[in-house]
Amino acid sequence: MQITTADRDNVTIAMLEGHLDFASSQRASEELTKLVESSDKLIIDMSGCQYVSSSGLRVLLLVGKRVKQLDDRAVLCSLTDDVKEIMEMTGFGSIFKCFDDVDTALGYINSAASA
Amino acid sequence: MQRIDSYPTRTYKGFKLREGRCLPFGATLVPGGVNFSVFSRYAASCELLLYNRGADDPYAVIPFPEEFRIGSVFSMIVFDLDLEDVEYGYRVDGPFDPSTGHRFDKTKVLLDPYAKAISGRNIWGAPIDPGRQFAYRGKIICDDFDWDGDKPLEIPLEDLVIYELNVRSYTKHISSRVRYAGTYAGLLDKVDYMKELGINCVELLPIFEFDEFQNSNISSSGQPLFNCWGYSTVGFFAPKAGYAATGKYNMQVDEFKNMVKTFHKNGIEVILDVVFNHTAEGNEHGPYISFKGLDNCTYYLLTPDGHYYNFSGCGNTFNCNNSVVRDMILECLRYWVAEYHIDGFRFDLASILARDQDGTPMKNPPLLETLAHDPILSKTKLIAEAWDAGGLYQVGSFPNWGRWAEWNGKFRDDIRRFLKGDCMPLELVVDRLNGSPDMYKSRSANVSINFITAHDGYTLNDMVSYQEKHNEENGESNKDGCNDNSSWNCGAEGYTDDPGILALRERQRKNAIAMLIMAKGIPMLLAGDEFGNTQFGNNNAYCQDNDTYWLNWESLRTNIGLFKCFKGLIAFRKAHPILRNPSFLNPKTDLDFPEFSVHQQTPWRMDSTSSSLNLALLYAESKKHYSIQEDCFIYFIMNMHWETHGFHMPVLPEGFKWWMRLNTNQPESFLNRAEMLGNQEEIIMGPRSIVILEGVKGTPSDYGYIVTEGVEE
Repeated sequence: MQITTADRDNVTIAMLEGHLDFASSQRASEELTKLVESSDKLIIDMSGCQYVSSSGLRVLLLVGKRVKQLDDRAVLCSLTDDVKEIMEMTGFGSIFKCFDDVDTALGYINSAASA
Repeated sequence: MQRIDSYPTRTYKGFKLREGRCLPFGATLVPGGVNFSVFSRYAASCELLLYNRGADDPYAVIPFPEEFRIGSVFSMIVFDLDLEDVEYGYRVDGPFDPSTGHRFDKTKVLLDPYAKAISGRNIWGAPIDPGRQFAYRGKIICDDFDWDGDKPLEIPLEDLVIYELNVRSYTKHISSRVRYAGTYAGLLDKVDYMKELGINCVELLPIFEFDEFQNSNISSSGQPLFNCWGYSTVGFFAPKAGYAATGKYNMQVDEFKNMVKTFHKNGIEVILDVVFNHTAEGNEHGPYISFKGLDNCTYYLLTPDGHYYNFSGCGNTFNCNNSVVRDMILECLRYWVAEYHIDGFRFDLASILARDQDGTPMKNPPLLETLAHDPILSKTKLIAEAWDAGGLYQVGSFPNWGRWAEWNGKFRDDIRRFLKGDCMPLELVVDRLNGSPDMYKSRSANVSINFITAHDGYTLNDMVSYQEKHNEENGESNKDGCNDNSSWNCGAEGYTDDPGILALRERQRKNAIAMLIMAKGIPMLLAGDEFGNTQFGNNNAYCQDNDTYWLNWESLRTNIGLFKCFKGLIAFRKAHPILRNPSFLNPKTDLDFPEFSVHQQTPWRMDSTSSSLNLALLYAESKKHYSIQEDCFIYFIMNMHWETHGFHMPVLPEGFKWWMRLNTNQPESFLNRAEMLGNQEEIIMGPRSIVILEGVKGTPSDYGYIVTEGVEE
């Protein structure tokens, strides 16, 4: 699991690549939590994440709870079909606001910030 | 603060180990590792086998050192495991002497009886990997879950309307139009429909891990048959992975918990049908899966010469009143309530739980008493199927300590006979409709789980369409399944286009549901009956994993009138607390009527010992007593005779009028808006029909219809 970041329109975009599973969960949790706390606005781009395990869902849940404490300023986007299904079937889909792609997520997060 | 026992004390072939903790049994997460603990009273030694996910061979075989054993419990902590990848099992050595009950075989790899998740059958019906000798392996789970404040709903028993369904068959048919057909997640797409119908409790056929391949029969048309009911447990602590859309990812635990949480959010309880009377290991010819190789003498009831007692009819009998097994069952039920928020259990062939270690029925079975008094289960519904295959029949006498309810098989049998016009004492019918006080007088009507159909037997549609069972496709030459069904085909066997017969069947279905919903006690419906689901006359569809057993939701469109009748009656029951009052006391109300009275064509005259097919029940529902808006009389008239009869109604107090609420002789049977009767003295009842009247001073309440998608005409 690799997490790389980029800035676009004053929004931090974190790209997850690889499997979010038990082996990567602790590091992913630490890095994402840091990003949530240090970024005004964050989009987690899941297009490179092919698999989310049970531990991975828990990482997203914990990060998502932190996001909720911080005024909902992070969203997910570009989930692969498999990951989207896993989140839907297990009920973890409601943790984050999810968007089809980065542009839609950017549109939402910037309009939400200005609202 | 770090625990002082959270570091390894030795290594074995590179694996870091430490003596484990005996309790809890099973595989439990501890700081840095996993605690494995397994009981075997007669084992000489035990090995832990670790596998990478899906691998044929273990990557580690770790013997439990003798110093890691306390009493009969082997326990060991293994550090640094990849929790999501690892699968595990045990090999146990000990005596092999079947005449004394011992069947240890150190070549067999065994499933942990306490495994919280099980791999091996992750996708329903997927071909078995021939290289995988040890089919069922334990998985380690994250048992945390974001319940978001949820807990068991604790709906009062008398307010329940139970809906019995099979997770797979309910949505597997293409007509169900759900996203994840045949799975836990799939059920959630039907929650709105269930709310529309009005049920508030689902009773799921077994969802403990079982082997769908257990049935080796081939249908008469050459198709392989699956065990799709699941009454054959492999692991008691693990949800059936093949029922999970996420089973392929080993996320069945999360998916199941999310299902329970969603049901609860929508006001629907979840009861599990649990099977503790036997396991999937069969008799001496059956496979080694777990208990047989771990400690055969402890887990099974054995004859003095070491054979298996077969009170279950399935090859073996679980030794439920052995103290170790008893503890396991208790811990299992506690686990499902505490960790999965399950609201209740229906115990399959529960009378086996009342047998001692020789198979003799006990007056005060310790297991049943323990469950009745357990603090975690104290609000959990406990429902017994109060008989077994060894001839013990305890309906009305199941040991209960005031806690156990019973599937009332006599309700099914007597009401079916009355429905089809059998000559039988009317007092039996009155008792069944009044909560069976002949059986439960010292307790309450809450003991009586009333049903007319269940998974085992005909569907409601088939009960009025078939005289004989049609189980040819089960591959047992039509010898399986019950022969005594009290069914009647209304004039033609199976399919017919005769409008008279079809109309009579429709009426009989409505008559049946009216008696079920109006009866005191707790109604249980078989899912699909509300839209006339058929199994084509098969009354034992346990192996029909196909269109025979899958609910065909197209029938909902063609039987919308039947659905409305079900829905209306359920709403009516909810609106009238007198119908749900579990008490057998029958006080005279402030309306100057007894709360409950029995009548025939002439009011206040009743010969309950007669074999008449005419009956009417009057309920006097006082607003003062029941805290409702208006006083109300309910007159429930049943003409099960094949001829028309006139019924005179009781004279109501000044200002009250009789209104029609239900007439099964009309296509639009349940009236959302009641209609006042032109003739307030007598009603002409058509052949085999039921009428419900409401007697009120003003206008009876309307019942709003919210039509959801899929329930449109």
